[in-house]
Amino acid sequence: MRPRLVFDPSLCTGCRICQLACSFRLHGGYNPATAPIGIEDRLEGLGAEATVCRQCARPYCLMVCPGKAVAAADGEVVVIDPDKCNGCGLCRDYCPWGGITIVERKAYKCDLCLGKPACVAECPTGALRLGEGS
Amino acid sequence: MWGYIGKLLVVDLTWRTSRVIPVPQDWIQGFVGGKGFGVRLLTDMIPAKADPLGPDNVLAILTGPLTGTAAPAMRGCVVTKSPLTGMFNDSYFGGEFSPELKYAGYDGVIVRGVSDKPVYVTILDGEVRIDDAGDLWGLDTYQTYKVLKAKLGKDVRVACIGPAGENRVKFACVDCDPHRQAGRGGSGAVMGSKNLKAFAVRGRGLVRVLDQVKLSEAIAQARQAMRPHPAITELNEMGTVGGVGMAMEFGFFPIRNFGGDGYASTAEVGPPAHAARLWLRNKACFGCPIACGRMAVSRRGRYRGTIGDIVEYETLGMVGANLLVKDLEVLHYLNWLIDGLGLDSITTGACLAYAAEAKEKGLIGQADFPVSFGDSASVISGVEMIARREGLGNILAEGVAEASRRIEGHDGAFAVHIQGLETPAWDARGSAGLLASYLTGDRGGCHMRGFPVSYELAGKWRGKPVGDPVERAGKAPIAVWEQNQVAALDTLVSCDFTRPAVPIPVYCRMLEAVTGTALSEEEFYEVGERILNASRIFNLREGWTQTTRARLPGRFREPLSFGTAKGNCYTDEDVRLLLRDYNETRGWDAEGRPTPETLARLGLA
Repeated sequence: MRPRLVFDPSLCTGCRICQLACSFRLHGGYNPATAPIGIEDRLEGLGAEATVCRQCARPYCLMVCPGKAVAAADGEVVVIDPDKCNGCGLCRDYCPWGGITIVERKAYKCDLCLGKPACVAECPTGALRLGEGS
Repeated sequence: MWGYIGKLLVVDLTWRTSRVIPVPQDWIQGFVGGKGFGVRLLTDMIPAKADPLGPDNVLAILTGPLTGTAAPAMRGCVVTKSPLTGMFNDSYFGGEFSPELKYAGYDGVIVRGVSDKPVYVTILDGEVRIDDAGDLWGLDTYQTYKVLKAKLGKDVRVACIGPAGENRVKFACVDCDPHRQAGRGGSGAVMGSKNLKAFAVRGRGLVRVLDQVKLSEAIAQARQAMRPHPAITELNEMGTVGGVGMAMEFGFFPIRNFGGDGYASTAEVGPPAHAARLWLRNKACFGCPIACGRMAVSRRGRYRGTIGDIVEYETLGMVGANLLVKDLEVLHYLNWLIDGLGLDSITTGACLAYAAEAKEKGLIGQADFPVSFGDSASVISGVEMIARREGLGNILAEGVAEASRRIEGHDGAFAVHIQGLETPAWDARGSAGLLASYLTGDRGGCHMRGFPVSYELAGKWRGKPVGDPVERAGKAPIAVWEQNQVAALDTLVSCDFTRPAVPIPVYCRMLEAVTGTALSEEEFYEVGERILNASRIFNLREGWTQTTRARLPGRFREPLSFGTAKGNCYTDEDVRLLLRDYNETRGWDAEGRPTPETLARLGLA
C-alpha cells in the first residue's frame, strides 16, 4: 500500500490553505486552481470533498502516460518526472479523482511533498493527514 | 511587480468598452491597496456632487497587495459613493471573489457609466466580456450563482446583486460566493442603477511574492499569534454570536428599536442554541484559519430545510432583538431571505423596527405596513416589501433617515442613524468611545470603522488608563487611533477579525515580504490617517458638514434601559466635546475640516 492523504470532510472549513500551501510549494506563487488538491462543496456548502491523488494501486495516470513520465514503485507515492512530461494532459483527463493539474505544460500531482506534506502541516483543523491505502 | 498585479480593469457600461490602466505608483506608495485606491479613484473619477444612482457614479471592487496569498485573511473591498449617505462608502466581503480577480490578472475592476439593459461582466481566463443578463434579472442571489455557474463553470467566482439591488433599495448589498456580503451603504443599489447584475471571474495566473522564506515566516507568526488568542478562539468556537452575552450585559444590544429592555435569555439565543439547532459545518473565508462562519440547516418548523450561513451577531441584534424575533429557525430563514434578496441586514432591521414603532405611535396604519414587534410573519413580509419597494416598503427602501423625513416630516427622534447610516447592533450609549467613532466615521455610524470598546472594557489603552465605557473624557483620541488602524488594515484588505491577535509589525512584515515595501508601525498608522483625511476631503466635497451630519439621533438622548451602562444618554454638549477633542487630535479645524498643515504633513496638499 502506498502512503496517501486522508481527508476528513467534517473538519474541512473550505479555507483553501491546503491549496495555497501546495501551489506555493510547487509553483512559487499562489493560486489554488494550480494546486493538484482541490476542495469542492457538497450539499450547498454544508459539506466538502477533497479532489486529490489517491495513490492508486493501479494508477491510471501511469497507464495512460505516453512518455512514461509517471513512476510508481511498490509502497511509494506515484510521481511524475517533469523532464519526461510533455504536458499532453492525458493523465489529468483520465484521473477519476481530479488529482492532476497542468501548469505551463507540465503535469503536477500530489507527491506528499516527498514525506512532509505542506497541506497537512498548514491545515488549521486537522482535516488532512497522512495515511495509506487506496 | 510583487504582490500587486499592477493593473486595474476599467469597464464602461455606457459604451460597452473595457480598458486596462496601470496602478499609479503614487497610489501604491501613499495608499497601499483597496481602501486607499478606492478613495483616490472616487475622488478622481466621480464629478463633484454626482447622483450616486446616476451614470457618473463609479463602483469598484478592489484587492490589496496580500490578497490571493496565504496571509490571514484578505478580503475584497467594494467602493462607491453611497446612495444611502451621499458619502464615501467602502464595504468588504470575504470569500473567494477578490483573490480570483488577482489570479485573473487585475488588482481591481472599476465600473462607470450605465448600461441600457441588464448585463453582467465576465473576466474569464484573460477575456473580458459584457454579456446580456436578461435571463438573470429578477433572480435572487442563490439562483444567480446557479445559473452563472451552470453556464460558465463551477470554478467561476461570482459577485452579484439580488432583487433589492435591481430595485435600487438604498441599502442593497453586493453578495459574493454566496454567503458573503459587502453589506453596508448600498453598493448593490449602485450596481442596480447601472443595470449590472453580476461579475463572474476565473483566472489561472499566480500571485507572486518577493521573498518566499520571509513571507512563510511572517504568516507562521501571524497564525501563531491567532491560535491561542481568546478573541480568535471565541470566533472560532462561536462565530460572531459569541458577542451576544457581553452585549446584553453591558447594554449594547439593540432591543426594540434601541428603546426596550427585554428580549431573550442567552440560553435562548446564544451560541449553544445555534449550535444545537442550526450549525453543521464550520466555514472559513479564503485563506482564513478562524472559520467564524457556520453552514447551517434548520431541521424543524415551517422553514425546515433552509440551508444558509450563520445568523451573525449583527443580524441577531438588528433583525432579532431590535424586532423582538427570537425563534432561531425564523431568524435563520430571515437571514437566508435577506441575503437572497440582496439587502443589508443591519439597515433592514433598523428600518423595520422604525416602522414598527411608527405604527405604535400612530404615524402609520396597519394597512400601510403590517410589521409589528415580535410578529415573525410580519417581519418576513416587511423584508419582502422593502426589497420589492411595495407599498410603504418603497419609502423604507430609502433608509431610516429619509423614511422618517417622509413619514414625520423631519428626521425623527426614533430614526436611529448617525450621519445617515443606521447604527449597528452596538448601542452607542454603551460606550462614549463608540459614539465618537460613529460621529466621525467616513462611511457614517459604523462599528467597523473603529471600536474603542475593547480598550474601555480593559481600562487600558496603549499602556495608559482609560475611563469606563460611559466616561466621555479621553475617548476621542482612542477613536482616532482605532480608525487609523482599521483604515490601514482595510487598505491591505485584511479582515477585521484577525486584528485583535496579529500585531501590526507582523502585518508590516507580511507586506514587506510580499511587495518589498517596508513600513514602520508608525508609517502604517500614517497610511490609515492619510486615507481618512482623503475620505473626509471627499465627503466635504460632496456636501458633508459637521453641523448637519455629526448629530445624535433622538433615541440616544433618552436613557439606556438595561445593562451596566443603564441610564446613560447623551446631550449636544457631549457631542460638542467629543468632536472638539477628535478634531484637535486629527489636526482638523473646529468644523472637522483637515487643515492645510495636516494635509501637507500627509502629502495630500
